[in-house]
Amino acid sequence: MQEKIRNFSIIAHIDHGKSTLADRLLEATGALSPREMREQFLDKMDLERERGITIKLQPVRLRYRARDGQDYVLNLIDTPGHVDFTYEVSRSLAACEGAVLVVDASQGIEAQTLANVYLAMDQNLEIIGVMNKIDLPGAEPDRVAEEMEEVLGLQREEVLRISAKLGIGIEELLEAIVERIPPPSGDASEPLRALIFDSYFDSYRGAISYLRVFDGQVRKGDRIRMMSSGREFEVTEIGVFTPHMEPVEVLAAGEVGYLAASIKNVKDTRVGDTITSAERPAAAPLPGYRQVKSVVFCGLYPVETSEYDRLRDALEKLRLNDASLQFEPETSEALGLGFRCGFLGLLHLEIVRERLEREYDLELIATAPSVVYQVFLTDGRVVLVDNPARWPNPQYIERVQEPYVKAIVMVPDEYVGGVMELCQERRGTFRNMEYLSPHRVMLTYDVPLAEIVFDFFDALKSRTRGYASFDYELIGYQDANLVKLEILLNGDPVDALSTIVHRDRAYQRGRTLVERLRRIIPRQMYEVAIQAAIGSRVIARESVKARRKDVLAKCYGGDVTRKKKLLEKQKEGKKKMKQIGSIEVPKDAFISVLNVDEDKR
Amino acid sequence: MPGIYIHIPFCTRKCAYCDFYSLPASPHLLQRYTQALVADIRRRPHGSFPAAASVYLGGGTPSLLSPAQVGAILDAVAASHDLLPGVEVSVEVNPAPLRAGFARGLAAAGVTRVSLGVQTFQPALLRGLGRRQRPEDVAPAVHQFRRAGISSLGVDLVLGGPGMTTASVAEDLRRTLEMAPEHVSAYLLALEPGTPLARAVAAGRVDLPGEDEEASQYETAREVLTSVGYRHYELSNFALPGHACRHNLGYWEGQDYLGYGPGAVSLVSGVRSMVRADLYSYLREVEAGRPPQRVVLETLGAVDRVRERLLMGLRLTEGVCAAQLEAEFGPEATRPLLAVLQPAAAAGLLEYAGNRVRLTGRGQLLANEVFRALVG
Repeated sequence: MQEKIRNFSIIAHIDHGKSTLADRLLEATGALSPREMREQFLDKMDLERERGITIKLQPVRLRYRARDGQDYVLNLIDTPGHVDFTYEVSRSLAACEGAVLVVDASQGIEAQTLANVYLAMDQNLEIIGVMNKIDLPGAEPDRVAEEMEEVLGLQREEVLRISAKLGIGIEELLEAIVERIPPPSGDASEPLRALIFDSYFDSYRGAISYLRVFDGQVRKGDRIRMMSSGREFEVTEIGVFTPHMEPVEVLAAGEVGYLAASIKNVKDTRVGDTITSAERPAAAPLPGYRQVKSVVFCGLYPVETSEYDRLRDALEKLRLNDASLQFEPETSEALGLGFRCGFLGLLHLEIVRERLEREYDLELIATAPSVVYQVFLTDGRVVLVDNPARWPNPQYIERVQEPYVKAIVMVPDEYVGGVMELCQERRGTFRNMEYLSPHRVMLTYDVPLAEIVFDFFDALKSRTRGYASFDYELIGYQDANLVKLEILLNGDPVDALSTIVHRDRAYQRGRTLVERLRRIIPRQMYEVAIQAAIGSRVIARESVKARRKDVLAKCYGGDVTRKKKLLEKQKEGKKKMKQIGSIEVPKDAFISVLNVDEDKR
Repeated sequence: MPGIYIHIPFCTRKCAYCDFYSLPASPHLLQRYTQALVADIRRRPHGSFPAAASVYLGGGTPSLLSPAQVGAILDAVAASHDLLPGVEVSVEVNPAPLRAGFARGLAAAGVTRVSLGVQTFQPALLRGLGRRQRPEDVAPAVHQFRRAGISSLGVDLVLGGPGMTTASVAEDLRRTLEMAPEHVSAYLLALEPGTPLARAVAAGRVDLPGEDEEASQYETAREVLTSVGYRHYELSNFALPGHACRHNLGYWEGQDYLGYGPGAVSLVSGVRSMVRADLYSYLREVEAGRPPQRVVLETLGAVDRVRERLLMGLRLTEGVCAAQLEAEFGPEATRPLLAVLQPAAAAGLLEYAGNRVRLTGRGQLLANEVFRALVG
C-alpha cells in the first residue's frame, strides 16, 4: 500500500497558476464531478478567492491509474503563498516527499518561489519543475528553463511545459509525480507519529487536525497524545479528503488525512506538533516544531465603544481557527477599550481585520502596526515593547534593539537603481547583488522589519511598476537609535498615534505626519493644534482652522422633511468619527501614521 | 399666520443648481395647468382651513403665467378660502424682459409682492449658475413693477456660487441697493446631489469658493445690508421694517400651510403631506374630477412639533420663545429638546434673552451644529 502513495505540494508564486493547476489535477483524476468543479476549488475562504491568494491549506487525495496500469494515491497538500505563513508552508512541505514547482513561462522565478523552493530543498524533497502558461504570447520557455537550471539547479530538459488553463501536459505531470517522487518511508508497526500540518475549528466536531502519519497507525477510538503539551484525547473520527471529508477506518504510515477528537480549541492542535499514541507513545516527536510568534502588533478598537464585547467575541471565534492570532485587552486614552493583537505579518493583520469587519460587521480602528523592540533599561532589565504607548521613559533606556530581516528583491535590471534607493531610504544595508539572467537581478538587503511594516511593499511596487517580487525572513535583532514620536492634539498626547522611529528620520516623519493629519481632520468648532514631539520637544506643528460655515441657507415649508433627513444623516456620519477629548477624528487618521511615505511623492 | 402656496412647475430652462420639480412648458400646457389648478382649488380638497394671511406663487417660474392666468388662480383662492384683510400675495418673477402690461396685470390681479430671482448681476457668474438671463433686464423690470404700484419688491441673490468672491458679492449688493428693494434674500449656494453643478464640482470641472470665502461673503452681505437699514430677520433674509415676507415667516413660525400643484407640500394639524410630484398625474386626476394623489410625509407628535418649531424658529433672528412652546406643547415635550441645546449655548452659538433662545452672530453661520443637536 505505502508503495503506491505519493505525497506532494505545489509551490508557486501568486498568479503563477497554482490554483488552476490544482483544479486540473482534480479534474484529470476524477476527484470532482464536473458539477462540483468550481474555479479554484481548494481556496475555501471568500477572501482568498477575491484576493487570488491562498491562506489556508486544503489537502486532497487523488486516485490515479498510471501508465504502468497500477492505481496510485496522490495526496496533494496545498501551501499558502505568503511570507507571513512561512512556518505553515514548512510544515506542509515536511508532510511531503516531493514538490511541484510552478513557474510562469513569461515571468520566471520570483522571490517568493525561491524562498519556498529553499524550504523544500531543506526538507530534501524531490522537486519537479513545471513551467506554466506556455500558451501565452509572452511566454519565454527557453529563457525561463535556463533560469530554473541556473538558479535552482534543476535539469532544464526535465522541466515540464504545461498550460493548466488549457489542460496541456497534465498527464505528463501526473506520471512524473508517480515516477520521480519517492513513496513515503516509515513503519506502520512502530509507535504512532503523525505530523499536524494544519487545523481548523468545526463547531460540531471540535478542532480538526490535518495530519500526515509517519509511523504507526491511528484508528477511531484510539487515545492520542499531543507531544508538545502532553494533552490527551480520544479519536472520534478519522478520514481522508476526496476532497470532501470522508471517514475511514485507519490511517497508517505514509497516509494523509484528518482527525477529530472533541478538541475544544485549535490551540491544542498546533501546527507542527506530533500526535502519538497515549498507550504506546513514541520516544521522540518529529523534528521542526516551534511555537509561532507574533511579529507585528497593532491595536484594534471598535469605533463604537459599546461594540467592545462583540469585538472580543469575534476575536475569540477567529482564534478558534487561527492559533497564531494573539490578543489581549488594552486601554488607550484616546480610543478607549480595545485589544492589542499580534500577527504573523502584515497580510495576516489585514486578513484578520478585514474578516472582523466583513464577517462580524464591526467598524474598527486599527492603530499603526508595530514590531517588537527589545529595550535594555539602565537597571539591567530587558523589556519587550510591541506598543509605542508603552515605550519606557527615555531616561531609563540604555539602548534599544529592533528586529531585522533579510530582504530579497528580484527585479528587471532597469529598476535596480530605484530598489536600491528605496532600501537605502528604509535604513537597509546592502548585502548582495546577483544576476539571475542577463536582465534579472536579485538584490539582498538587511532591513529593519519596522521599515518593511511601513508600507514597503507598496513603495516597492510603485517604484518598479509592479515588476519586483519580494520576500523576507527574520534574521535577529540589532542596535538602533530609536525614539518615540508623539502626536499631540490641542496639547494632549494621543497614545494611539505615537510611533517609534529612527532618530535621524523623526523630524521628517513628524513633519509629514502632522501635515497629513491636518488634511484628514475636518474643521471643527474650535481650532485644532496638531503637534509632533519627541519627549517635550515639539518638532512640527500644524493647525486645523475652526469651522466658519455650516448652515442650510434655505429651508421652507416644502423641504423641511428633506432638510431634517439631511441633518440626521450628517449626525450619523459624525458618529463614525472618534471623539478624542473635544476633537472629532476620522478613523482613517490612525492608520495614516502608516502611509506617511506616500506623501513625499 | 396660515398661508397658501401654489406651485408652478414650469421653467424654460433648468438652472445648474436647482433640484426643484419643474418641466418645460408650452402656452397650451400652461393654460391647461391653470385650469386644473383653478378646478383643484375650487374643489377645496383640504376641507376647512383657517383664514390665510398670505398666498405665494412659487416655482418653477410663475412669471411664465399671464396676468389673466394668475388672476384666475387668485380668484379661485379667494372664492374657496377665507383671506385676512391686507393679505400678502407674492409671486416669484424671473428677471427677463417683461411682456407689455405684465406688471400692471399682476397688480390688478391682486399681487402685492414680487420677488425677483436676480442671483447675481454679473454675466460670467450667471453662466456659472447655468442661468440664461441678462442683468440689464433687472432695472426695467423693477421700474415697471414700481409703476404698477407694487410696494414690496424683493431681490434674491446667491452667495458662494462658482467664481464668486467677497468683491463680487459687494458689487452685487451695490447693484441691488440701486434698485432700492424692500426685501433681499441672500442664499449661500447649497450643492444639491444629482444636479449638473454637483456633478461638475465632483468631476473637478467647477471650483466653488472655500468655506472661509463663503463665510466672508455671507458676513459681507449681513454687514452691508444691516448698515443701510435692512433687518436681518432670518438666516438668509433681510427686509426694511414692515416688509418681511409674511408667507415665509409662517413657515418659520410653525404655522399651517396649504400647498396646491404637483410637488407642493401642506402642513395641516401636524400632518405634512405632498401632492405627488408628477404633472401629468395631477392633470389627469383633477381633470377627471378627482383630488390629486397625495403622500403623507410625516405625522408630527408633540415632540416632533417642538423639534420643528425650534429647527425653523431658530432660523429667525428673534429666535423662539421657550415659554410659549411650553405653554403650547407642555413641559414634557419641550424641556428635553431645550436641554439638548445647552452645549451649543455653552459653545457660544446660542444665547438666551428673557424667554427667547436665538442664534448668535457666529451661530448663524454654524447653525447646522445647533440643528443637528435637535434631530435624530
